Amino acid sequence: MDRRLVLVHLYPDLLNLYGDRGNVLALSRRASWAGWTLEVREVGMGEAADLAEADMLFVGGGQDREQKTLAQDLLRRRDAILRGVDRGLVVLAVCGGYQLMGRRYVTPEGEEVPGIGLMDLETLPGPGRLVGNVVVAAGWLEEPLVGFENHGGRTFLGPSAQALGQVVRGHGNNGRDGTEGAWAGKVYGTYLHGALLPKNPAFADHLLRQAAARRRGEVPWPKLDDLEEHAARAVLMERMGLRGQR
Amino acid sequence: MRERLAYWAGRLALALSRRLGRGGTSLPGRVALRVDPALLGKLARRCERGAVLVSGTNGKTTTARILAGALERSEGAPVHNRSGANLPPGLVTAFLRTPPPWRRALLEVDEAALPRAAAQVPAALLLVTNVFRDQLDRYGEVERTARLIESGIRRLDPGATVVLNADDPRVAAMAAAAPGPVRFFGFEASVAASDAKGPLGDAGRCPRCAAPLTFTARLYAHLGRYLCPGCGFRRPDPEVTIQGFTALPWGSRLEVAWAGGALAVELPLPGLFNAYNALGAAAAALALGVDAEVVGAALGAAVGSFGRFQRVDAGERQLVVALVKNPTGFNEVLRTVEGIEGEKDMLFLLNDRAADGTDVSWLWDVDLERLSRPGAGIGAVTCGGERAGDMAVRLKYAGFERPRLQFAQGVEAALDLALARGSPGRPLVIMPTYTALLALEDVLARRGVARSFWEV
Repeated sequence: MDRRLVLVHLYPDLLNLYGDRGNVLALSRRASWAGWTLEVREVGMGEAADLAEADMLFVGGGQDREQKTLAQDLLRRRDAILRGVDRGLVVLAVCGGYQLMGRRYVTPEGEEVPGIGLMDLETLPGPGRLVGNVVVAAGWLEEPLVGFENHGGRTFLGPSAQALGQVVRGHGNNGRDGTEGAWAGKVYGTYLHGALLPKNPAFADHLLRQAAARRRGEVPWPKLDDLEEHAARAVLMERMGLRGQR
Repeated sequence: MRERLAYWAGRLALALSRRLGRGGTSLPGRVALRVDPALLGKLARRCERGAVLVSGTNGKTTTARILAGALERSEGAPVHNRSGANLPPGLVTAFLRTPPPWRRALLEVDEAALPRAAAQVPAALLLVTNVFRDQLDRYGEVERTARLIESGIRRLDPGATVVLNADDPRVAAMAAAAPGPVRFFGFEASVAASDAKGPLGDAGRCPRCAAPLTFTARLYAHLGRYLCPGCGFRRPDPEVTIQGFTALPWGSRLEVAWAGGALAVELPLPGLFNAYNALGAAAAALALGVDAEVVGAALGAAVGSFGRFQRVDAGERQLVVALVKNPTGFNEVLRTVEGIEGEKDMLFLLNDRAADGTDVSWLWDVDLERLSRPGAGIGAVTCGGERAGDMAVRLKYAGFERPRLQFAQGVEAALDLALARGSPGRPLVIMPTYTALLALEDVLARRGVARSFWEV
């Protein structure tokens, strides 16, 4: 019985800001605790990636000044990513990676950087940075998403994009419309790090289950022991005045 | 007039906070600055020989302490914010605590406070240690931290010497901003224990043209010998160097050399990062005209700051307290801890206040996996602090599990748990973030274990 999944981690050398490594680590540990093997393939700028064989794609967040270089590399991979998504590739993009999944990203200097257009959204510059702890109500998950955001860009969703959830505490996509992140099919984008997946085990398992389904159809996914994760979440929730919620 | 009023208001606040048994490393300065916001520059101008500033992300406090030892031996004790309170109120408090006349001020300055401090204080010298990723939520990004320091450098008097770490590309590039003379320090010794293999990220790019740098040697993080294939930017030849480095159990043997001199010394502080601190302090002292012999004596008598790899005896347990504040520093602490003979228990104390960094995701960039390798010599592992759960999650994903891994909310509860769990013969290595260190120090002082932070 093949219980193997392949994850492509784009630009681990460049986009390693904000503990993105934690997201990959969480996916691979939780996969193995559930009896699966997650093979992680790190792909740097300009390196070849076989997305046809991949079940998951992760793109993290970098510093603002790296966005342009990245966008060029990402655009070259656009068709391969689109083909992968058509075949059920599960995509998670965080921070800078999330911004480049949209149609365009405008730098603070006013320069326009094209995104790969996987989701109907665009990112514009704004005054100051949106920084702090975040709690997001995501009805499709059994628990809210928690994390930390730190971004200068303001992301606005187009009519065909759907928010990942509604901001309960924090700023979210743009600090104005109460939305955070976006999803389309099996493509997910968010500003949350902290790291995101270790602290949101339900989301991590949701992604893994979708990737597993691509291989073997709907599969049961075991409930893991998340004592430490829930302790970390509880402190944050209590501090945000959301005591008793999980 | 206003200056005198502010000074005496600050002195009064200092006397009161002393009477109340508080150290008051910042509060008196805050009071004085409220009366006269320009007080720092005015006080600094009263120093006969001007001021020496120390900035950078890691090693400021220890570097300044070693430099203070050299100055003290050669010209008398400087006004010095030794406890590491490095924002303007802390700098002013250093003056309030030292009775005049003042010969020289030695000020460790926070990177964000440097532009203003450099504009106000007549500095004879500025030393920059390094720029590591640190508390991103506070400053935005690494590059911003570097630019803050650069803007401080631009505001120095043309006569001021800037002493820079040649091995840190981003720091070496700051030479272009210096209005006056520049001196470099760096490692010439090749260090066998190098495990510099982690991703370089942004720090591995040329600060001038952003092309990836070629490293011919790496010591740790992004420190090493580098060259830009794009624009030719390269590591400058340092004037003051370490030619030999041998790790000892609680320190290292260093051979320091410069044009016209050399000294060999046993530095009683462990780790490569402390060798860098000593080297930077030596380069600054030599630039200020301190005798080589005096520099050697200061290095040989270096005392760590509280919580910078400090050994504390708590009854039958030996505690080792090592502040951690960013991935690079944390990795270096872990590497040094591994050098301690035999099994050891561990206590991690994670807080997330402004001084710690409110974003705890930096933990995921720390190579904690190395601790769970077989043969790493790690016994019981306990987590505490205000974000104990986050620390426990990190260690869980690094390969630790219950019952070996446990956690308790807060600093004191976690300390008690760690003391109850470990075995008496094993040292307990405590790794707190900055405000957790202050809380720990409070607890230890209350129990009569360690001296007070402000008395050290």
